[in-house]
Amino acid sequence: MRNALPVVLTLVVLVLLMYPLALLFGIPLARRDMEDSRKWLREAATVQPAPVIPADGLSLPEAIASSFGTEAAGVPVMDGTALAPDETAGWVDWLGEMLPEGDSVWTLAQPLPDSFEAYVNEGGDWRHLERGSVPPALPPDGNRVRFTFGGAEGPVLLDGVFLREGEHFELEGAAVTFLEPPPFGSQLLRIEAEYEVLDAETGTLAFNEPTFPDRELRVVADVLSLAPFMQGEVNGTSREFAFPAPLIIEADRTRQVWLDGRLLSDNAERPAERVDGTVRAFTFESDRGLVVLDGTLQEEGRDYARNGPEIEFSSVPARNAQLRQYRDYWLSDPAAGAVLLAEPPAEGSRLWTTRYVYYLRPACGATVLECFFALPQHPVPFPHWIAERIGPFFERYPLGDERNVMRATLYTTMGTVSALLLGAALGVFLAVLFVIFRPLERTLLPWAIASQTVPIIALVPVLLLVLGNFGITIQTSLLPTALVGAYLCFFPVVVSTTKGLRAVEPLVLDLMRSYAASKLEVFWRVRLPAATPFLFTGLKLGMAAALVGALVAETESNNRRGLGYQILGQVQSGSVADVWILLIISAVLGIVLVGAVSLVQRILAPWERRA
Amino acid sequence: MSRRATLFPLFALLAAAAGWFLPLAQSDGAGLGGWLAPVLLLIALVSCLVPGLVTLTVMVFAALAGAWLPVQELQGTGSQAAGGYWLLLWGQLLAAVGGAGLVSLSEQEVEPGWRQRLRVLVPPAVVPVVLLLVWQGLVIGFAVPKGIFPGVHHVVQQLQASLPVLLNDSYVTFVQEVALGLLIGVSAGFLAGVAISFSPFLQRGFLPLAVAFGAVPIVGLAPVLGRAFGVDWESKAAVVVIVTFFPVVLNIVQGLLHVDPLKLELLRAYAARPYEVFLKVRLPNSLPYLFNALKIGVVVAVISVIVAEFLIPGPPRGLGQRISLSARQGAFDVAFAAIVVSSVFSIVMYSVVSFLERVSTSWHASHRGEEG
Repeated sequence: MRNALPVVLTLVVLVLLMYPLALLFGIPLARRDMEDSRKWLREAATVQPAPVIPADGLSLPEAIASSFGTEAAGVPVMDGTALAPDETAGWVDWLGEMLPEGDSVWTLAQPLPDSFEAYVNEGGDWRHLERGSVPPALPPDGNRVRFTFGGAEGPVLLDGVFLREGEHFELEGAAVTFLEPPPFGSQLLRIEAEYEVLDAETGTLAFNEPTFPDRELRVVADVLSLAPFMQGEVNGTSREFAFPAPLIIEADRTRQVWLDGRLLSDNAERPAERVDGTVRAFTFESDRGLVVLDGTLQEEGRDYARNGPEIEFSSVPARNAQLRQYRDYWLSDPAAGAVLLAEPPAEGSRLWTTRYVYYLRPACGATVLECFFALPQHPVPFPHWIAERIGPFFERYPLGDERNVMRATLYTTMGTVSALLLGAALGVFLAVLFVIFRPLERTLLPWAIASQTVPIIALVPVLLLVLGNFGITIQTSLLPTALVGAYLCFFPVVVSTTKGLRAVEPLVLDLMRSYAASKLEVFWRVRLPAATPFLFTGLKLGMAAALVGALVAETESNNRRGLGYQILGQVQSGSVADVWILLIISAVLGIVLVGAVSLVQRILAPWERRA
Repeated sequence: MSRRATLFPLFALLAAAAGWFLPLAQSDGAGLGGWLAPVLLLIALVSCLVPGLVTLTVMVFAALAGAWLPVQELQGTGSQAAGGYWLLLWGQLLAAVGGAGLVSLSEQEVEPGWRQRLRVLVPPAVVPVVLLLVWQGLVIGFAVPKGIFPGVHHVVQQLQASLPVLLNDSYVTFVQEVALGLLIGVSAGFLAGVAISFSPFLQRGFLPLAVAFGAVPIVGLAPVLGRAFGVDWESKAAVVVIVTFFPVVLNIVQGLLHVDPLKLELLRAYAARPYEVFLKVRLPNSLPYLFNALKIGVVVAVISVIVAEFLIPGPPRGLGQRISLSARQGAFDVAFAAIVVSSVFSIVMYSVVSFLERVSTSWHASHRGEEG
């Protein structure tokens, strides 16, 4: 008991050390996730649909005031185009009424258009419903079962199917663990706002709330909306404006900026000539616009002279420099959402946008800590996560399945033990030969040492293939595993057994000689007992090596058996807590197997305990 | 040396001589032509009849050269071997092995000289040559295609062709991964060992765990480390750090604590301060243990790094990745060439550690014993 206490205390400290370690390794990954713009959620800001559908027959200013409030500013649009101030009817283009189909599923029973809005009847007023869902941080690859969805906590949708907890997946904090891995390429979403489209073909929507009892749900093809003004002063001279949101996505082709009912072109015109470092004059499609060379605006008169669609630079642009002309406007700073117009809009004109896409926030969450918890794979998990996983992990496969952990452990144990038996037999045989026939030791021992520096373990794939040619596959035979393990474990056995067989007191040998004992008797009665402690030391070292060999051989095989295969499989499917459980199992297995060698030693060589 | 003992190589050589008259390949009935083979056989037979240390050595090398001839002859034809080939090959190989055994058994000479050196050096030198000839002989004899198992000549060709690539891989594997990992792992293990040697609590708490960790297949950690450090070389160096840490700790603690009590008493009599005891007695005493751990560490580190490169597929650099990639594509000659290169480097590393050990611990009993 007194001996166990320090060990237990150290173990507890080591386990607790995993918490800071988990943060140490996890936070840089979380930060990387946050900074990678590809892993950010994109938001398509379209016009803002009426939060409440106003009654028919109101004039346009009245309708805007009753739906958006009196403070609202923007350009009233419907179907992307600005409404005339005197239009009075038709704020809504109803598609039809929705019917409940399940707990949280409603259907229109007809295909949905590309853009639509859903409204719920709340005491006579039709309230607008927010649509929104988040994809997983990592897409389904056919193998991964654990997914995180940033901050979303709504229902999970997979390829138009509404999934249920317990039936299809299990919730683990913010992470969703599927019972069956979603297939590669399938569309996986988790609802973040009020609803998401389940199937556009049949017009089915999935709602975040379980149901809207006794309510009417309707969808509209279009509805009175407000398009926001571009930020900036229209005074007849200023050309600099900005989108209402920063972090505009440059490559987005659906961006729309309007000037008094005219859609501005954001087309980047390329010159007809190649920028090869010698040409100075270039021809563009249109005869006006902003000339941008490698991201810097060129000034007419100073940098170039214009003659209709042709421009001539005062100095030759460098070879392969990117030369573009923007006819109407140029997104000069996407991070700030700033645009530069080619010509200043006339005083009193309106400049608005009906659609732009921007980076909303990192998909994993708003803070580093949120991103840390949303990591799909923690390099070092918190110990209590491992503890929570142990139960489900052991119950994941029934005993009949070869992937069951207990069966895998048994398989690896068999492989290790057969490897040790093979390696020990070879090792003891060589050691005995070395002792009987000393020159042989001189001849072979240097090469036995060299053999250990040869990473023959690298040949496992080759070995498996070659043995496969003889019909010995890892599916049916333990031989490949045993050979790999034996190669690793014979060496410690040889070295320590040779040492042991030699570690005989000369006095004892003299005594045997005086009794006229035969060589065999000397070997049996003196050398072998003297060698047992050394032999067992070698066997203990060899057992650990054999386990490594067996695990590696299993990772290289594809027979779905053994702990080695499981470790690799779990890494690929992304459950690091499971990898840690498997590591702990193999660690315990290693300690138990070495302990078993000690036990055999006590039974076979009880005299050593006295010594 | 008894005459009876030389009968074994003699009969083996006679069987080989019979093979000279038999067809070499299955495709045609021609035997092994040329004058070199009978000359070598004759030299071997004559030296075998006049047993002595020098003549036996000549016999061994003549037989080895003779065994190489049919392999070389058949290599170009691509046909399967017939009886003559096998008789020539096995007969002369057995004669060489037997001859090497006789050389090592020859009379124990007392005075060290070139004859003694011959007796000690010839047998170990014969082993790899015989193994290579057996490998090449089997591959050529059964006309095994390169895609199933490569011959020695394929590996040598590949070694010449892709040496720059393999050296580049070796830089990643041995310098960035093994050497750096060893440096960090050994330093960390050394510091931890020193700390543990000062704390009886840690000795009772940590040492049993460190021993238990010896039985833990640490390579299993490789995929986890791949997550933590990225899939490039850093994670593999981390594997080396962990793999070398525990043996170093165990050995250092043992070296620092298992000091001759007499020396401690002597220093106490000189009123030495604790740090003086540490620097002058404990630290030198732990040096042989440290080198022992280093030697284990080098071997284990190379194996672990190769396995780690298997388990953490990253950018295709490093010998382990090269081996596993080419083995998967069936390019076994590349895999073998990479193994040859990695073996050479790890043997060099091991030798460097052994050399350093001999230089820095020459005062230690284990070396004095060898010399005296």
